[in-house]
Amino acid sequence: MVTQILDPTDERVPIKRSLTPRPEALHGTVALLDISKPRGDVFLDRLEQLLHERAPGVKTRRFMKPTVAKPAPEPIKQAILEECDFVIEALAD
Amino acid sequence: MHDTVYFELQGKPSVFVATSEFIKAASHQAERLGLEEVRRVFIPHPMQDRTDAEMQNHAERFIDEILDTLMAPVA
Amino acid sequence: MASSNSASRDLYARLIEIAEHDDVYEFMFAQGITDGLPVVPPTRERVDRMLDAAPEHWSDPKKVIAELPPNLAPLSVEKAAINAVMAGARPDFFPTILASVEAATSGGFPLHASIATTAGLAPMMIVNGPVREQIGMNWGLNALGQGNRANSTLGRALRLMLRNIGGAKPGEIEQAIQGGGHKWTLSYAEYEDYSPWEPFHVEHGYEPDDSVVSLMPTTGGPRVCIDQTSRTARALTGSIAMAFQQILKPRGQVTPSMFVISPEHADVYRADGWSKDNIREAIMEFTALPLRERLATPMMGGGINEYLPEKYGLSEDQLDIPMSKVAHPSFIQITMAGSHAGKWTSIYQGIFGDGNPADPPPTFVPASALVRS
Repeated sequence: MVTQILDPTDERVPIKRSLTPRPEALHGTVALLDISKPRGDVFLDRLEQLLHERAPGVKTRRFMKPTVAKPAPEPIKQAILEECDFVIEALAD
Repeated sequence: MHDTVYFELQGKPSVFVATSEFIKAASHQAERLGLEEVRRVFIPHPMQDRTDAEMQNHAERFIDEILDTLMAPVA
Repeated sequence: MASSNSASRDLYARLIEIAEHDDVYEFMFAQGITDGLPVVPPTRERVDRMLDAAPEHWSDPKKVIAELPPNLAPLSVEKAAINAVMAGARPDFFPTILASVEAATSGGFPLHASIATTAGLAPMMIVNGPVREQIGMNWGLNALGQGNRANSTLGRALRLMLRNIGGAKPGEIEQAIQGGGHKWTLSYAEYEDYSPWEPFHVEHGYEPDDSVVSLMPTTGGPRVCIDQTSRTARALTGSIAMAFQQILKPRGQVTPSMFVISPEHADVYRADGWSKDNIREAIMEFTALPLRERLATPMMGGGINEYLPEKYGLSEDQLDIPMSKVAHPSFIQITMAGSHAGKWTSIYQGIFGDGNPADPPPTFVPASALVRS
């Protein structure tokens, strides 16, 4: 006898998405999003200094997720979308 | 990773930095979120027992790779 | 309970045909849809019987209960039923299983983090109220162990959904360093009738007649404190506190943890008239060390991280702030279960937590949900 079972998995095929085209150079404001893992802040502090050296005139803004456990809350997402041009998210271990 | 994909899809060039332990996990997650090529840079694991100087040194070693990865033209 | 007609119900999941010469159990292992133990084949008939037991609110099989991390994939009632069948659950467990999904995804539980973290967190499930008896749960002898179908399958059903729908697979997105038995299942009922205190769900705002599922994120256990001799509540709590002090790393702090007290330990508290808050205060007192003694040293690396005072700008005086094993008394959660033949308390610990000692964290409240009827 043929046994039939029902598929227990998420049957959706992930939709293919594509990257945003890159401009020639950094400009405007870079969001530095701290996912709030211990030690990530030290790394980002130095990264921020170096970024200013590498790209003078480019501004940075720091954001911190309240918890590493979930995607960033809506107010942080909105602020980044409205005020920033690039995003660097760090640091997961 | 969810956040990086989110901002990328909203039109903000983005890059995600993690430690090397997460190379495989990040790859699976990126695939499941439908953006396999999401830009990411891995620094050496571990980090939580690193001193400030060691963490700053990582930033110095990887700043160029992070910026290059972020800005590399999209094929 | 929803009235329904199984035969005419539309289902949406793909039907997979397993050929005659194939072994259905081997097929399911090969498909990667089990937790390493055999699962019950989710046939149409079994899934229909599970769906027949869905509460009215969840009577539509295609209704989405939640999006499960890490893939944020929609979990329909039907997919929940399929995975519940696979876990070995009886249909009458289904409302409790759905409540566990609601609790896990209510926002009060760190579900995504518990899957993705290297710490190997998993939800510990505590069941309270009339449903405990209705579905035949165990709150007595070996309540935290094997043997009872409801205790064994409730937690497994939730985990199979996280694996098969959410995409939580070890080595992929799931990154537990070592894992443990709690990664398969961990569910029990509280021994409400013998407890010296109000039931766990009533403590957290529900009515005694409510049936409630509560979840605690744990990296494992039981860390058993066996103290057969203490005859005062204070002495007993001293033993339990010292067992707790050693958890994870002796000088470090830990996030919310569950203390499962056995009936004979409960008797000691009953005799001395101790409340749960008395126990919490005593554990805070017994485990308190000045902050400077919790910092890592060359002799004992396992303290709280030495950069904390600088990070939070703490003064030399503030290094004398007493720091207990947990940052807040509410991190000590207490339930009762077990047999009457021994003075044991089992601790299921959270994960390390280095908070700002000058800025205590908010009260911890376990994630919970009503079992719908």
